[in-house]
Amino acid sequence: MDNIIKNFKGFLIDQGFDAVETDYEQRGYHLEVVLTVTQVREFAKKAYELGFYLVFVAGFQVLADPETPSPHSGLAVVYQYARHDRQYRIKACALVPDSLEIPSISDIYQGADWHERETRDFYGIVFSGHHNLKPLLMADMDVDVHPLLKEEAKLKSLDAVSWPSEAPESTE
Amino acid sequence: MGEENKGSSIAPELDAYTEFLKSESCRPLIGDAGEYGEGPLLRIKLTDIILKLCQANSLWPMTFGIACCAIEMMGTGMARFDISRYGSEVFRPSPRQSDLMIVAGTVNKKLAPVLLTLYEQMPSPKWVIAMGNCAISGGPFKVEDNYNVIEGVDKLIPVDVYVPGCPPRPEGLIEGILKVQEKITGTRHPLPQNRHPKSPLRKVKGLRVK
Repeated sequence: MDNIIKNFKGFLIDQGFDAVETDYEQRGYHLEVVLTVTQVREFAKKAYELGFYLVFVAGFQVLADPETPSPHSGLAVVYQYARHDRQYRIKACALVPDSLEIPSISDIYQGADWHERETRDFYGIVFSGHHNLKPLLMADMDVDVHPLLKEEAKLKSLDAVSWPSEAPESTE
Repeated sequence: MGEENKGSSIAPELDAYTEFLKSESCRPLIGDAGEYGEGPLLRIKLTDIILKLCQANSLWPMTFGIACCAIEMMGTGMARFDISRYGSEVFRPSPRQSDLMIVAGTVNKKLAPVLLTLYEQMPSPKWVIAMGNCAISGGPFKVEDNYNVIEGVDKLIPVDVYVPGCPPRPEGLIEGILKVQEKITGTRHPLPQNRHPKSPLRKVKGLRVK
């Protein structure tokens, strides 16, 4: 793999990010980064400086588990970054705290603007610092309707919807 | 001056004409006031009939395709089904120039104010066809968890003809347009359509056509 990319992982770990190399054949991305809320903007800035583009911003919902070391609301935001010059994709994931607030990256990546508005529409995640966080797909009167939020009975835990952690080790 | 003008209008000629129209000699030409419901003050029956014939045979639909039904609407306008046989091929890009709105697709909450504005911008008289199940009743979106789809466009605007289907075939839409013509004039095929020529094969001696 390219030296720049190899260095990037080491660079991220040096910066205090939780980065794990993954099997691209299996998962479709090379690097998985778990972000804390404070790291979201920091990571986006680094990725922007290193020439990554933003593929998408999306949300998902899992069963909130108060017993985990980092309690969360059950909502999470996923960012995917990639490069044009070589095949390299990064999945960055941040669990949303109970306040449902997560910093916006729309001033770093302008393409995140509508993605964040859409995610707010569907899940009610508030992207603080967004310049225009009004409904994008939903009608203005339905500002409090979040259609993709599920009933608790239908939710699965984060482990159940994640890849098993042994998988990348066995392929390496 | 006010006294002099009392009871007379600024155009005495028009008053005389109105009196003439009210007279018995014009009775066959003018229908009863209630016959057509609300509308223009002055209605002349023969003019009305001619106007309605013209309206029915030159329905100008608005170019307004919302969802997959619009594909069938486009197909109806093209050569194979050829909506112009019934005078409705002039799809206008502006509601100001059209008198038929074909609601071809799903109307959701965000689109509802747009649809209302377009309908209000169309000059009267105007007609509406609700094309496809979504426009009729919400179709496949009429479920308990529906949060965004208007369940029937008739909740927003008055609908004249419903064309069911998901999506309806072009023949269905043509039948809907014929129904609108029927509603305008009271008769199906308000202008005599050109008859199809009999098959030339029939004239060949000894050849039987099934």
